[in-house]
Amino acid sequence: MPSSIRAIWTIFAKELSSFFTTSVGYTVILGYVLTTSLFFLLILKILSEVSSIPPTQRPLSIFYKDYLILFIFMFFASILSMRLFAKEKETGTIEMLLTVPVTDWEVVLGKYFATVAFYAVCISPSLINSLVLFRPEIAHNLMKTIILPTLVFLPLIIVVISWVSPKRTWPVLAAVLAGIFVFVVLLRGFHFDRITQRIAFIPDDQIDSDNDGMSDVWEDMYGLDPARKNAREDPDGDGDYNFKEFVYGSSPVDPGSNLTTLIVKTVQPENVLRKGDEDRDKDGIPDKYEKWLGLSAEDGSDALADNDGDGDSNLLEWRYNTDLTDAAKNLESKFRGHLPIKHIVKKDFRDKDNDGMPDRWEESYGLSSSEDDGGIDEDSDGYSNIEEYHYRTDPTLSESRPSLPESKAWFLHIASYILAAGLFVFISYGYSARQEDRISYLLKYGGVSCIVLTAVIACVFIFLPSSVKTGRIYSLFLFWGFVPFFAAVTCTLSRLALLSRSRLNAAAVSIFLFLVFRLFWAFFIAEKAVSQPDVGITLSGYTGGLLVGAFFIAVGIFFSSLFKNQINAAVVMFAFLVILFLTQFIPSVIPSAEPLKPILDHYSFIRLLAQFTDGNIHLGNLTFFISAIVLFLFLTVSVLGIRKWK
Amino acid sequence: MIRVKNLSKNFGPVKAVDNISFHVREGEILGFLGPNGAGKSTTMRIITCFIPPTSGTVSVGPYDIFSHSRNVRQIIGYLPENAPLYPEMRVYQYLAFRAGLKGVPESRINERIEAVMDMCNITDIRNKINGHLSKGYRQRVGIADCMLHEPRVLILDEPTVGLDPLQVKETRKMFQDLRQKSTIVISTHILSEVEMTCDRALIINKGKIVAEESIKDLTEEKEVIMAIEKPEGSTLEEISTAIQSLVQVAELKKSEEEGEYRFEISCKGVKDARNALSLKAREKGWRILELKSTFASLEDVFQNIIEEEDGTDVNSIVGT
Repeated sequence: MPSSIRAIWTIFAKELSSFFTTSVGYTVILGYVLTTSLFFLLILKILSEVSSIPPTQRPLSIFYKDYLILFIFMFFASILSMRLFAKEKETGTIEMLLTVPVTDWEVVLGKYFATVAFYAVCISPSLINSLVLFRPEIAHNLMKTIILPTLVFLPLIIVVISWVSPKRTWPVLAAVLAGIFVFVVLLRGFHFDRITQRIAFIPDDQIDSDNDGMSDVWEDMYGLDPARKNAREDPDGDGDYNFKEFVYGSSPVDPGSNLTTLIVKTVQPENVLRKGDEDRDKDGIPDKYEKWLGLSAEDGSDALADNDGDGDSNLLEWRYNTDLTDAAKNLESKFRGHLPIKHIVKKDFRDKDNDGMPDRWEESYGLSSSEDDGGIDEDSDGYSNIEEYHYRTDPTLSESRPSLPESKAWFLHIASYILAAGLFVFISYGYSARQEDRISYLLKYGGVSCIVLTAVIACVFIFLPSSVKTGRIYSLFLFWGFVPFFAAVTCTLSRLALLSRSRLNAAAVSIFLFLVFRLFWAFFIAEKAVSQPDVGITLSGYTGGLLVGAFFIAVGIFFSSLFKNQINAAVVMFAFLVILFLTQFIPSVIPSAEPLKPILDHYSFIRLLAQFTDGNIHLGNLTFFISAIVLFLFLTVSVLGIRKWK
Repeated sequence: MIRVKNLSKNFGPVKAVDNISFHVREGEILGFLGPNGAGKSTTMRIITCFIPPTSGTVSVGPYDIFSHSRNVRQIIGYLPENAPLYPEMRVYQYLAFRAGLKGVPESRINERIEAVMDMCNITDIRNKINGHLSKGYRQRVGIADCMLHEPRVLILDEPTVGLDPLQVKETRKMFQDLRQKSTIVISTHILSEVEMTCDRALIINKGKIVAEESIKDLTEEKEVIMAIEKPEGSTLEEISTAIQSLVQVAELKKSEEEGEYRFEISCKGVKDARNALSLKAREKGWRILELKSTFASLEDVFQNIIEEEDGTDVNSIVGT
């Protein structure tokens, strides 16, 4: 029926635009982007502590398996949907809405779809985050694109809103946020680079330009050629080829360091003993096992002896669970060269002091591996140790420094100070001056100067010799080119908005542009830097996130139709969602509810989400969500039908 | 056009509307009159299908509010009390949204909006934000919204509240123009408004209709006030007997002040008693100091009716 589609569309368009003409939309988007970004940083930190993402662990599932993200979803769904009917009742507009020739279903569906669409807009920027996780090796590059834009653009956008919004609360918020930002910038200089590098350190070391499985850093360290495939070669002739030595962390150029020696070295009494195990003779095998293995609990020398004479010590055989008394069963026969990686410490990338530089690299240049010396400039050539590490230059020789001296420090610092100073001026004017002419004057020249800056950056980039245009420089320029470009766009839009007097719409447009740019940009870098991310699984995961959100919103719209006050509605609907979430723990608290456990487990949000994030869209799960949504929409329509309020 | 039959609405134990029946003819302007809380708004909400009645039926044109609720809403333009608007929208944007909801064809939306904005004199505030409008402007935007889809029935709950006297006058004129096309129901507790705008008034109190008459009928009784110089030789009694013989008097109030007699004469059946009185005065040689005719105002009628109904003093209500 075209007429009902038109009615739904009219309500949909109005509701969606009212998210942006009231402060709700901005608040939710900014809040959501901030929370998920912070949350994402935590996850990235966790991930950076393991050497690589296990193949069974999908990046999104790490994100979604955490209960916290569900609460974030619930919270934002409540905020978004609380106003739908409760506010109409508060202001009395419900009477206008329900006395026009549209049906209750049309009203409910229009409002519902608008909220779900807005919710989808909210979660889409986080696509970038999952993209980062798919390709840990570009985590570092993208970290810059997430932290910096958030910190740079947030105050900028709020400043713009403060000009265009009629309310006085925004300028105060903007001034506070921007003040914090400028303070941080001036205090620390622009050292975000270093911070991000530390958080995302290990993925950066997996850059492997010849694609032979061994990282460039590692090959460099041992004087192998990082640009040639040499994984199968064995330069030291110790029987283990380079890739194997890379994986297990022995030296490819030292015949005395191969897998066997490494294992023997690693499996030492002091290394294998776990906390809490009683071991009187300090030989590495706990007392409770010694008797069972036929060894003495008092004699410390029997661990390193070899009872069956197969070449592996008792300790080693116990550790890897082979027979101590059978010479035919030793490590070699059990693993046939494929030792489990988790038992071996990856010595090369161990970073005791957590300063972003591996101990081995530090030791080879005589730097301390036990204190954080990343920021120190050992040879006083203007580059800190960590910067030299990333450019593979010698931190102790001032002649050896990054090959593009001006590119980084010069550019970064000048640009950051210009930006900071510009922000100061903009903010102080935006806060103090409410006169439109002064603002439009500022916007005009701010816009023009930003365009000039963009052009200058673009020119510098174009005329750079192609030999230095590496991925790192590429993203650096992209980023610093985008900041003034975006500022120019924002200024221009805001000025147009001032002229056309539809200010809030323009603010909405600039926020959208911001989101789209951010998305587009990340994809662009991802395309440049690495191969394709797994699109299917990402989309499946997001379908799950969207469905859960859509369900929460359906619950929200129902509660909104029950209450006359927005806050009451939000509180009750959030409580309801939390209780719904907690039902899955009922069997573990009340033993008599045990028979319910399979059902509750089957429909727990966490499990449902996990299925989606693993790339499985089950028809059953889809049906469950859709019928639950339809149920709550039906309840909403029924509530409207009763219309008991006066 | 509108037929209301045995309509009742209870809110819990409270009977907001108690078994009322009336009908509104096509092209008529009906004034819905009553003190606050009399049940005017509830009746209007039922007619516009916003709330269902407890019992009774309403039909608007050929449609019943139960079986053809959507058709009813299609031919009604409704302005709720206080003209609620979405505060964040702009006037033009708001009207466009409402036109879309009311099913005005896409190609005519612009034309209709311009027309209603012109009628309500809000063309120059088209880009203002609803929330920033003054009460009078909001009311006018609300009225403009009602007329967007050229409804056959207009139901306006206190449409002139918050308008300044000039705007009230304009609005009244607008209603007179609109009656060619629409039937209009106006609720108000301002009596003069009904008197000036409506053809017929429906007085409602405590959920019941207490009077249903045309304005002419309601105010038919006339009163003549005559003051004459105390004539020598004639007593007050004599003169009043003379007056009573002259016209059919329903009620005669007489009073004596220094040097003058004052009579307040309610006549029955006679259009204007002044002519007869002045002739009599000339004949008798009375010196007339004052001779004027007054209509019994709706205020008095309303007051009388409501006082009769519940025996309370309603001066406070009428005074508003």
